[in-house]
Amino acid sequence: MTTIEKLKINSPDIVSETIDGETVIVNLQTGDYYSLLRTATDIWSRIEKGTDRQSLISDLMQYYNASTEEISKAVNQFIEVLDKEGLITIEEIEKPKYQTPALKTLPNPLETPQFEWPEIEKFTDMEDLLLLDPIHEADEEAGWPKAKDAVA
Amino acid sequence: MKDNPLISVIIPVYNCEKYLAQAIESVLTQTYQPLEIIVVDDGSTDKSGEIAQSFAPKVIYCRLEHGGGSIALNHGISLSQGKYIAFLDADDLWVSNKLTLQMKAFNNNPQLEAVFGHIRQFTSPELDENSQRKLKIPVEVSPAYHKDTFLITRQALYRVGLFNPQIQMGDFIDWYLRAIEQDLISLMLPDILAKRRLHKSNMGIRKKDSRIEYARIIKASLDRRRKLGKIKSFITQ
Repeated sequence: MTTIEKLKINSPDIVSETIDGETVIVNLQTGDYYSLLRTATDIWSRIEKGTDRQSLISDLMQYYNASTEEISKAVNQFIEVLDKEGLITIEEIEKPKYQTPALKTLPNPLETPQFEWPEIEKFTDMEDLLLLDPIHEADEEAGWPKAKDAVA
Repeated sequence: MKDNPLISVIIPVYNCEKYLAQAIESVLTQTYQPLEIIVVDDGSTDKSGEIAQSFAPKVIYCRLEHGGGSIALNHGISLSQGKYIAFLDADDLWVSNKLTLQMKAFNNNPQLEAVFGHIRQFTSPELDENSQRKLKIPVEVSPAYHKDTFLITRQALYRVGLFNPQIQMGDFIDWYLRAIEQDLISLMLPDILAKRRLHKSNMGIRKKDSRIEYARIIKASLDRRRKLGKIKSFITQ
């Protein structure tokens, strides 16, 4: 049996949002938060869309101008950090017999993006603040603050 | 204690008839006096308004059209007269010497702008066993940078600024981040100052959409801190 390692965001404890090219990830279990930029943001968004370790590496190889060795080393190390910090889960599953090929973002040959070592910046200065709040506020049925429909 | 400075206590409420009276009682029975208690009703459709008004004249009541927590908090601040300002969520409780302990800290250190303390979480006693079990208390007692445990001088509150009305869920997180960016001088007391009620209506709250707001609040703070050159992080590898 051939297996693949499925990578998934560890929700609902992990929330993230990418704004102006920076991904901010909040771990609601620990109160820590993280910042990702450039290549790291790209990898995170590929994990969000659903991928596995091998496809991630091969997709990045098609996209960036860097050696297989460099990309797999960087990705494996980055995945290890994400896993250790509890931001993603890695699940070994049987390889599907047929996979619909994913739409690939092909690089513009004139402008191949530079592969940068993916880094993750960690902040621990809000633990006391973030740990308390998540379950505190009331929900839609009973009170506030309401997540207003109008505010997307 | 007629020389004690006035503390304004702001209790915002939205549909919290079950617990509001207990919250108000826990303020009325404070060992510190004098207090000015302002209940800001964010357009409740239950009996919250009647309950608050039944405490007149000890409690000032005002009603707004439903507009969200930050707007209610800001309105309460605009009505308040006290030299110090405190807040209490309508479903939570204070311990009776909360303000006494905090004012002692202010008196010991006139430099202080805000005093926080610990919070104890409890499951609301009317819940049946099954619901109590579902409400997992993450940490029973913890240091809390939270509205309930917060006492601040009016001057410092205006220095940092009011609550951001754009924010629905993380009003205090956003405020506190702005406060630390502006070097708020605060103290965390080792004492438990407030009791935070876990009940049915705050259990389903870990919804992704509303939590996303935290990421947005933090991103805005990171941008501001980078501009100020105040950033404390480490690269994990």
